[in-house]
Amino acid sequence: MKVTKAVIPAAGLGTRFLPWTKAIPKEMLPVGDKPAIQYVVEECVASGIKDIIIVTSYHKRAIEDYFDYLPELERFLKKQGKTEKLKEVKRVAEMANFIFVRQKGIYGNATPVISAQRAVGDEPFAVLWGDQFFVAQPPRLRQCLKVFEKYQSSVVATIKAQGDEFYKRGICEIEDFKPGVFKLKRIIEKPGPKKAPSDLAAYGTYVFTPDIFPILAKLKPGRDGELWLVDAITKLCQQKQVLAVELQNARLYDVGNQLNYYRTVVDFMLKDKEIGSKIKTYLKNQLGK
Amino acid sequence: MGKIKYKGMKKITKAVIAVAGYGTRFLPATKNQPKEMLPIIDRPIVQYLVEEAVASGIKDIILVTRFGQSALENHFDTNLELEIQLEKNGKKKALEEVRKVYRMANFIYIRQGRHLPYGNATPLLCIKDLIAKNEPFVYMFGDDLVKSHIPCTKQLMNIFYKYEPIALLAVQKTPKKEIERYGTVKYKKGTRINQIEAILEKLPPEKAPSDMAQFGRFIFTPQVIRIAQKHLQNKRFGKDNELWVADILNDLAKKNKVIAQPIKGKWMTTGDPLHYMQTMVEFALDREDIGLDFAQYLKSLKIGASYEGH
Repeated sequence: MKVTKAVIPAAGLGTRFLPWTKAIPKEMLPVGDKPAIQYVVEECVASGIKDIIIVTSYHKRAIEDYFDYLPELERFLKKQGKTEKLKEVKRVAEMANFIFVRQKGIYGNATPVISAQRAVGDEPFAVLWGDQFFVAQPPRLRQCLKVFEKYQSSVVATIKAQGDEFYKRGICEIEDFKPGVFKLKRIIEKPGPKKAPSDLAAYGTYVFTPDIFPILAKLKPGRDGELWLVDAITKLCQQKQVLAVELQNARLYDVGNQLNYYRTVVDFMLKDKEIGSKIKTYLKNQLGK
Repeated sequence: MGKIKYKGMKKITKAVIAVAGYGTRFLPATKNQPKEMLPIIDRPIVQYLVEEAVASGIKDIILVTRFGQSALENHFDTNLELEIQLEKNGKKKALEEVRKVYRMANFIYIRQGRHLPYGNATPLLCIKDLIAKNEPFVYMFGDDLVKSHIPCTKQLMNIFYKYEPIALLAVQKTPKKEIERYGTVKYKKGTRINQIEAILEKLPPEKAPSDMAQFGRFIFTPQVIRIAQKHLQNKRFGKDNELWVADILNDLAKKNKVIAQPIKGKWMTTGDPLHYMQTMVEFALDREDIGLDFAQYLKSLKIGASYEGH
């Protein structure tokens, strides 16, 4: 079976960017000339996804409007003869079929997946967080879907953890399966380097068979009284084969906190065709001080 | 125009911020939010302007917006759901920041109608009924920030009260190679109060009358609005058929006192992607919480001749 639907949770409060996130969702943080969530959507589309299901909440209208047509703006750009920009603005709305559902239920990163169940239906689907994306060759979701298409098992994307990531990420307990693909036993949250069962960290990219839904329906609140997707995945591992894929040629960009956001912004502006070299000169001068 | 006298002038309590632009250079990021809502660290650009005005004693902030900019209005409004959640999660500092935003000033919004011509003086036509006949006011472009010890607006207010010009604009010494991107001022000879003859738009450095570039901070008397209205009535539009502040001030400067005040501080524009990025970097490096880590990251990039990106 082919996967055509991707769920992108984007209902978080964005506390780390307050007050900016008072009226604008953090997924709309600009990286280069695009909001972060657009990179996630583009990864999905490049991987063959047709339906993008974005899980939002009451203060996230900006995301819905962003992926829609804006006739007022389009008319203005046409009048000004800004053809390139006009094309780009329209392309954003035409990239995929966008479906929006509202998050309901208790806190936790499993809740948006539960909220998306009716929109997903009885099919396999992907889940990708809305505030991190990868520049990868092939696209990260394609790498996961390739494995899914071959084995028809749920897939979790991983990359090699380094340094303090052992304290910040979920680390996978695995068994060998195929080159670059492992059987997942469970994910252990923030074990530290000594207790880590492997060096593969789970990185917010999943392909699930519908088997996950009954598990989610019965899931009990875990740490901090929240519903955790990791807990559901560990249960799924006990029932079905779940595979962990080590992403190749992949670089992660994360806008989840200010420092990581700034790193991402700098990397992208240095790569920019128009302003990259000027920024480089500017930074050289800044650092020379 | 004859020389204009005004008596019984009111104190300055209103700041008008022009935020009705389309932010075309930032598209698609600015598809459904004004470019003035783009973030610098944890605040939108426009909040820095409001904070500058408030720190200078301004009470009323008048934002000239357009269709599709509700994010801006929501930002300066209460957000009860968010506040309740922050309270519940014990995020006191964030809660304080969120509340500070709408308690800072009295916010007034007015829409820039689509029937009006484009131009950086057009917002003046929209606010005419919000300004009394004897009431000078601060006028700001939403994309110019100033880093200074004494707020830029306060510096202008001090000069305004001292010399009572009909209009006052902020200028900053600008490197030669950048001068043609801005309007530069031609000072009157023999004046000690920085009175000008004219603002000359975007001239190459060899033709520029000075190296003092004009940026988006002004104090205007209501006369400036009157002239803007006249220009509209007579369809006297400037470059690209738009209504320009410079054209209006040049009219007034012929017979009245228009002062171009050099500012103590650093003007930083966010009006185009390059300058926005530079301003972001500079503000981030200044921050106590992330500044050091960020500087370390920049150094780790080893930006030298060998840097090729990742």
